[in-house]
Amino acid sequence: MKKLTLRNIGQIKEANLSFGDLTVLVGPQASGKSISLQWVKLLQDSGLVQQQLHTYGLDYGGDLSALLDVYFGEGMHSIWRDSSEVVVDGKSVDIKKRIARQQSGKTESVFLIPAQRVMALANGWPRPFTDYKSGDPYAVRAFSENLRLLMEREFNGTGPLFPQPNRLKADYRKLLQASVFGDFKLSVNKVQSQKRLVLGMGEEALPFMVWSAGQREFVPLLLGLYWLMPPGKVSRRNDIEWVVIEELEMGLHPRAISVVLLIVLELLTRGYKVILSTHSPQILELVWALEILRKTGGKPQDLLALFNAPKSASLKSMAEVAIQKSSKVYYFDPASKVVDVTNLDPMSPVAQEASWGGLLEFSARANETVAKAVANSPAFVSGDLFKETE
Amino acid sequence: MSFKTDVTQVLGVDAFRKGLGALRQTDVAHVSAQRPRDIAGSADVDASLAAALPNAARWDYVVGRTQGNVHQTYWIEVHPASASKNVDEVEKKLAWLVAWLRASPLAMYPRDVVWIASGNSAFNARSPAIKALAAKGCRFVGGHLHL
Repeated sequence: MKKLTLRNIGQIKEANLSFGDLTVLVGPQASGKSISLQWVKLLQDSGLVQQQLHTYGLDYGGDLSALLDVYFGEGMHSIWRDSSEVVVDGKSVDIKKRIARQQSGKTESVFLIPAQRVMALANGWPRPFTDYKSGDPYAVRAFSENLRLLMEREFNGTGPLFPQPNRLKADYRKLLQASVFGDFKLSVNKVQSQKRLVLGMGEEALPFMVWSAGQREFVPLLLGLYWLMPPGKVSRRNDIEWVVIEELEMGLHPRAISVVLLIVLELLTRGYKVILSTHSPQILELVWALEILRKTGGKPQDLLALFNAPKSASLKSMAEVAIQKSSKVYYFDPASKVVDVTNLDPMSPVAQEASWGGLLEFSARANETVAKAVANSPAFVSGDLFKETE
Repeated sequence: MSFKTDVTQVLGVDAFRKGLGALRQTDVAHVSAQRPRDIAGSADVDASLAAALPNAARWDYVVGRTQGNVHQTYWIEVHPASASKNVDEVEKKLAWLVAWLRASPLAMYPRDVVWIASGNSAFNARSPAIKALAAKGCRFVGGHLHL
């Protein structure tokens, strides 16, 4: 899929999305970003979604309305209207027909890390698909199930899950330790035979509920990244082509966001296409810099400087590939069509682009408020503010 | 309080122009007015003081606006914004403006001090340099000022 058009679906009037290697969706709450991301998954992995629902006893009877409630979550059948339309690469998709019959492909090509990822570890251990209510969104259940499989199949031994020598490059591990985990190790221990994830070892171990908000948000994301970057020389997981991460910035300090974004670049260099939804201007700062570096022949070390990352050979070779990757940014306007704001030009006559999809609006207003107040204050006319300049 | 009288007094009899008439053609494209009839006039500060203060880091323009009994001045600098050195240049001009304004009757007007980028911009509203400038009384508006 290179292009996706969604028309009259939920809050979306019209979204014409042409995907880059990295695609970022911005916009206020309830503007249709999450629905769009879930449509990408549903369209790409129809057969798998249908099979999984069937396996776990969720019978939508081939009916679109029932499927929408099961897939997007309870009550979400209302997003589809008579005028709704989905177009993939220029061809209109007959959704009702597709849903009515089991589709053939059953591999997973889209790995979606949902905004509600913290729910996946609500009890300190990945919850299985069937642990959720039937009205809970498929994206959360499927992500949770993938984490459960990861823990079951790939982390049977002893020793910490993080840091782990064969997972993530040493540079990333060091950066994550500094920005997220500190001296803590992510481990597994047991309480009355029940496994659980803890931070720390032995009697000092901290259970899930006492972790910081950022650690609770980050650990499911980390496990998702483990899933996408298997150990050894395998660069990608099975048939996965797309990685979708909703609001990766949740709960994280900007330094930690910076490390996660560096790992997003790693995903790009491994050949994944990445789609992010965000409310963080920091992510748009990356796209802005990445696009300009790409167009002006920037060097890998320039890209690493953006992250204040070590200039190791490993990261340099990663940056060399990442700097060539294309990006797209779309603003989801609740009152209008989705707008392509990829250039993120502060000079753009298009207000949504100049304000980076509204993410700079408050900063601009703060500047205006402060500047006007200062310019009309006694300190301004007295010249005290400019003594060094003079 | 007469904007025209005060401009004439400090910048000379030829400095005052109606509307946005004092702004050079390339610069006026960066400014628009919602209600043009509210514009009380404008003056090219830079050109008016070039002979008297040839080496000064002179500010570009002042524009007056009157709405009812409310008078307001806009001190406008149209300047490149493509590199961090441009911030230093604008700050130098701002320091000059403050010193010059101190002895002027135009200091009595409420004011809005504005930097408009003349070309591409390397800055956005989150840039620390732009925030530092705002804390000194000058706001960066990107490529366009709407009065």
